Amino acid sequence: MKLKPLSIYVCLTLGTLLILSPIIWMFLISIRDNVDVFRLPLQIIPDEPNIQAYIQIFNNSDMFQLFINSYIIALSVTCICVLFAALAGFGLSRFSYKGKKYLVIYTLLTQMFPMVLLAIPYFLVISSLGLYNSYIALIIAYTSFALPFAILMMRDFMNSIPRELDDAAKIDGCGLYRTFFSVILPPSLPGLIAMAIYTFILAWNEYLFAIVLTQNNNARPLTVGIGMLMGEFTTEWNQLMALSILGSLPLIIVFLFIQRYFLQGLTSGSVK
Amino acid sequence: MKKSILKERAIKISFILPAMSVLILLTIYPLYLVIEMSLFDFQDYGNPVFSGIENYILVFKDSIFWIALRNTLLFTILSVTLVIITGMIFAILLNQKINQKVRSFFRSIVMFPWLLSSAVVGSIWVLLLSPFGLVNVILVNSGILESGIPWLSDERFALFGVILANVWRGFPFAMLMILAAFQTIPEDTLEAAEVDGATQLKRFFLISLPQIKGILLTVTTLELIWTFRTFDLIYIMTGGGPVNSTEILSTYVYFKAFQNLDFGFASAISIYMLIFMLIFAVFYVRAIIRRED
Repeated sequence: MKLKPLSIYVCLTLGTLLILSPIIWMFLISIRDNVDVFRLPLQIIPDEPNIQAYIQIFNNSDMFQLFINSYIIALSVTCICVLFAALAGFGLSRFSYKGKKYLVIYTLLTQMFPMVLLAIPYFLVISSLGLYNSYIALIIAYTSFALPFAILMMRDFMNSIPRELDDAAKIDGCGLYRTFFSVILPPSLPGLIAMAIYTFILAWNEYLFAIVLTQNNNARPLTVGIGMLMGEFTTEWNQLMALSILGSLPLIIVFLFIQRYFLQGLTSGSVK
Repeated sequence: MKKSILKERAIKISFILPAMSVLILLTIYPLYLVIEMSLFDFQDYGNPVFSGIENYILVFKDSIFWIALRNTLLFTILSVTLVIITGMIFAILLNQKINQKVRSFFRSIVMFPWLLSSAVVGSIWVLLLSPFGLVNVILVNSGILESGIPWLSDERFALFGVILANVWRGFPFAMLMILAAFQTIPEDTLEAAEVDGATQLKRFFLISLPQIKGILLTVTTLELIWTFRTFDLIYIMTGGGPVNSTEILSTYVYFKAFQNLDFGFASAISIYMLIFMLIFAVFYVRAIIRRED
């Protein structure tokens, strides 16, 4: 369909504003006092904007701990996935194994497991291993469900790298590992970045396993902290919104910087 | 000679071994455990007793299971329909002849909701939909409502409230995929149709839509699968209430397992969920197998 240029821009701007309005509202709530959150008539822009809510969060060492936990968990999962998925993506793209087709289908199927189905045995196994309420518990869990998509993404990306490169490396006398690290990996960087961001977002945002496998601030990630602020008897909405913004900022910043790779990597495999 | 072939094979396998062992260890073994647990009676938590398929029969006799199943289907079908429609509208808008920089600017900021965690999305929408929240204030001030509706604590509206939040969070992914598919349609095909006098609507339905059929099917299937297994958004926004009106299968499994500690019953429901998912998945996997061959 084609529209006239001006009307396209008007529609796009209005549509985007509508979509962003909850996020804008989140910000406008975070810069007012909690008593003004529901005060009628509702002020769209608070009369006396202030950053009290942010200060309260920064002064709260528990909140700070939640951020640390989220970073440790999400970065560990990302590193493990990048390494394992790059290796497996190369393997699946270049070599034939017995039953490779089934391996790929199985990888796809694991994407369809209901998360709650896995939560029950994870809880029991992690508890019996003495890992309940630890970083390792969440790192293991998140790796298991970020990895399938990461592998498929890397395989699709490496399929698009010409095989002539492999052959040239072989003629030059490179072993397979040498070929992988110095010939295939550099041009795969956009794909790797896309996959790393996807994994990081997934691990940073997960909630179910975080409530099932953690108990207190020693390992609890930020998402659970946000959920718990809401469960309290009187909700400090301004703090909750400030925390939500602070918790989403890392993702939005990373996304804006490398979105070109990210969007490319995300769509390259499936749009064919 | 033979030794070097073996060595080469070992090296080749070493590439996929770490990832595959993680996948198998962390998915097949837990799956086996769930199936095993579903065959036990956990009434006496310390001593599970083997009970065969009793849990599977009990699930069918449980009235909340049927409510949860109905809600899950309603939630999934409505969410996915709205996600695809909203994604399509934004993809069409972004696919117009506009400045490339403007396009990528809008495309990336429309992606924001998709980046947020369920905890954040849930808390924003709980606030927006609360009795004196922004949505009610706008509806009352514009004269549509006489007084605010407590959307999420009213049995009649709660499910639609969570669907709204879910669509907001989910549509950018569909938009991205559909837009990418639109942009693979060769320009001259559309121009040729224009020269032949095809109207805009005709060009859209007869040329653009058939061209993106494949990706549309993939996105719809993926969205169906992802929405069907949603847990966190509903757990955060309503906890399944009020009076089970937003109870879906995954929240029900969670409560049965982690509050009632009835792991057998919960496992049986989750196995039913898996079977249901596999039915969706057949279409998807079939398309993939075709591509693999």
